[in-house]
Amino acid sequence: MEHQESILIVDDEQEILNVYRYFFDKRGFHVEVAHNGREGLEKLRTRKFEVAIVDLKMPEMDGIEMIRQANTEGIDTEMIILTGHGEKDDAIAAINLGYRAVGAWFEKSGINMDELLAKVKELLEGVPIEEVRRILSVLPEDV
Amino acid sequence: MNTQFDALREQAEHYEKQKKYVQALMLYKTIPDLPEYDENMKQIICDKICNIGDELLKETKGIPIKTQRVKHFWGLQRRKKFLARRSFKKAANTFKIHIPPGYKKLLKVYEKALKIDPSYPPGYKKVLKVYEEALKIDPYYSQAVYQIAYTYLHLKDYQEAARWFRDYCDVAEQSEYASALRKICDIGDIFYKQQKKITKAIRTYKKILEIVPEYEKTFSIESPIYFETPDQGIEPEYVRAFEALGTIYFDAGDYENASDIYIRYCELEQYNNEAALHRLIEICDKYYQKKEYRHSIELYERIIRSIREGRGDIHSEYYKDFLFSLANFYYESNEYDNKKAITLYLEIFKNCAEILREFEKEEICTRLENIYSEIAERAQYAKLSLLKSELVEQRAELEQARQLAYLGTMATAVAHEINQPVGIIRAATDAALLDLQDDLLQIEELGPLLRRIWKQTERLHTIIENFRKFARGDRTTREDVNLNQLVEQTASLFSEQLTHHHIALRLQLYQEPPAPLVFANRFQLEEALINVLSNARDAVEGRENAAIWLTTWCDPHKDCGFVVEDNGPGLSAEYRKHLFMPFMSTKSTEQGTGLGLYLARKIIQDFGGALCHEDRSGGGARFIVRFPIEKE
Repeated sequence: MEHQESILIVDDEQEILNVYRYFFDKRGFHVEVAHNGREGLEKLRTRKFEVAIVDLKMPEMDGIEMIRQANTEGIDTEMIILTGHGEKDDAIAAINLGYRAVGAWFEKSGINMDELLAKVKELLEGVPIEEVRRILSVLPEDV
Repeated sequence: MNTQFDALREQAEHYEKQKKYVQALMLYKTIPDLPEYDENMKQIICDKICNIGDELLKETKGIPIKTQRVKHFWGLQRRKKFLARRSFKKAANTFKIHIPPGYKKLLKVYEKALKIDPSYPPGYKKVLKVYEEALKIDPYYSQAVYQIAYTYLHLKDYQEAARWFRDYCDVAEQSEYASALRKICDIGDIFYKQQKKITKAIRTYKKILEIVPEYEKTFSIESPIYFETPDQGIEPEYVRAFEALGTIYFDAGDYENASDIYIRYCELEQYNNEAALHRLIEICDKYYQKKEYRHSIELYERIIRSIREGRGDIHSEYYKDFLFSLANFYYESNEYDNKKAITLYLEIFKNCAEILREFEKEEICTRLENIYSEIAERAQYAKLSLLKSELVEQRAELEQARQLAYLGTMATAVAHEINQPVGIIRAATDAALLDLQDDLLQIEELGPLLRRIWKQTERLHTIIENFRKFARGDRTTREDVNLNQLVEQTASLFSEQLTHHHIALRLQLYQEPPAPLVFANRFQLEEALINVLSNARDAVEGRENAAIWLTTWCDPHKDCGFVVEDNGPGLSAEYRKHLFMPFMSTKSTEQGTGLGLYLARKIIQDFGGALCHEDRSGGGARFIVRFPIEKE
């Protein structure tokens, strides 16, 4: 049996966790869930996840804080941010802050599951080297 | 031949040729004073003077004569006629030339007849006839005119008598003239007092007002040298006529004519007649009582104009009084004219400074001050009403802003609230569709999927229903509102939003019976709570361990209510002072309207409650809403 990619889903809404888990489960992923940032961070520490789908707004510890912590602890899980209504700016801010491995963000109420799946797969494959070179070539040198 | 006489005569004749009769007469008049004057000269001068009289009379001819009576003879160009009569009379008196005596004899016969039977009217008629005949011979036979007039008086034909007396005034000597005037006045009195014939009385008295100025004009202007000057002072009958006429008009309520008469009367005596002045003031008062302010103002204006034109003394007490009254009218009447009032008050100061008494000065100063302040007030009022309307507009705008802000608050809360169920439905359906596409969907999954979706729509329904209730709720009717329910419901609206802002919301509800009930309108109370809650949210947002506590309590013997606490920075001393004032806000204008706490308190007060603030122990603010429990 080939290596099963692990996904961690962090959200305080049980139904979201249910739907997402079932969806990825069906498609051959190993899925674990956490109900808040703190729980999510603990799971990240205990085992290796290729991708984490993280809700931004949660009690106890929110998504941004969890990602920040994971970053400082050197956890290299790729992150996908889920946002609620009107939290787009927060997600963009998170990406702009330079948190490594924040691959994408999706607005929950307007989500397309195929796009999410494609993004997860893309992150699992890693960025193609040509794309990295192309991005580097257009960036100003001083940056 | 005496050269002096010749020289005088020569000069007089020269004047005569030049038709300078007055000068000629004047010279002839000096002749009798000459020492060499004799009968011969007398005859010559008498002829000369009579000639001049004839010449003067000729000048009056050519004007139509209406009747045979003497009146028409010289009811013509009065001035010339008068001069002619005078010159003739003078000459006649001076040289003892008399009217032909034949008629006198005739008269005497009739007069004797009258003495036998004074009440015999045909006798009077005969007397009248004789005199009329006499007048045909000598139009200047003043005695005849007088007798005719007197006869009519006897006959009680007062109208005719007055007419003849009026004519007599034209021919009479000065002393007789006065008695004729008196007779006319008497007739006026008879008409007015005995017969109550106002129109006839007025007509009669008015004759006097015509005669006197004419008479005086003739004497004082036309013949200053030749004739003896009339007595200085006003003819008493003239005054009497004014008084009588004024009284008639005044008593009849004809204030227009009355004031006209009294002004002329006042002018006649240079406004020195106190009774007349008093009457004018009385008329003004009458107008004032009748609320005919325009009339009293016009009358005062007329009086003042007359005085200013020199008919009165502008440095007098009465002038000041008139000015003062007029100014007061301007000041007080409905036809309010501040500008005119000011001008007059100032004029009183200027022209009447020396007679202005101290208290009046003060009074005028007060008046002026009042006017000025009134003007200022009016300006202020105009400005104020402008401000008021601006304020109303501002208020309307703010109310709108408040509603928008409120709706915004609610919309944000609702949006947060619906985000989760929509996200779940979206993910579930999208996943199912993808499963279908990838051939991963099992038929037995359908049931749980639909149940999941239904459950979320139920959640959405509740949110929408709550919002709808609140947004469209009836805000007038009152009911028993359970504060626990209120706080829970409002908290549920905010919970998602507060979570979003990392604010912990902790409810501590009073669970013992009785439940905290307040007789109020649910939605208004909810709005008040939302306002206080929003305030707390804004205070703690972005702070570490931000938390809000919502507590309810009930003391069945005293009061019940709820408390909203936060662990924010608390309130600054400056803000605390104006906490519940409208438009006081520590927030930027985009964030708040500054009406939240003000409106919350207003709502709570409307329901008999109180909203107050204190510091929370451990930092932050504590807002207490307290409703007294009414004991039955």
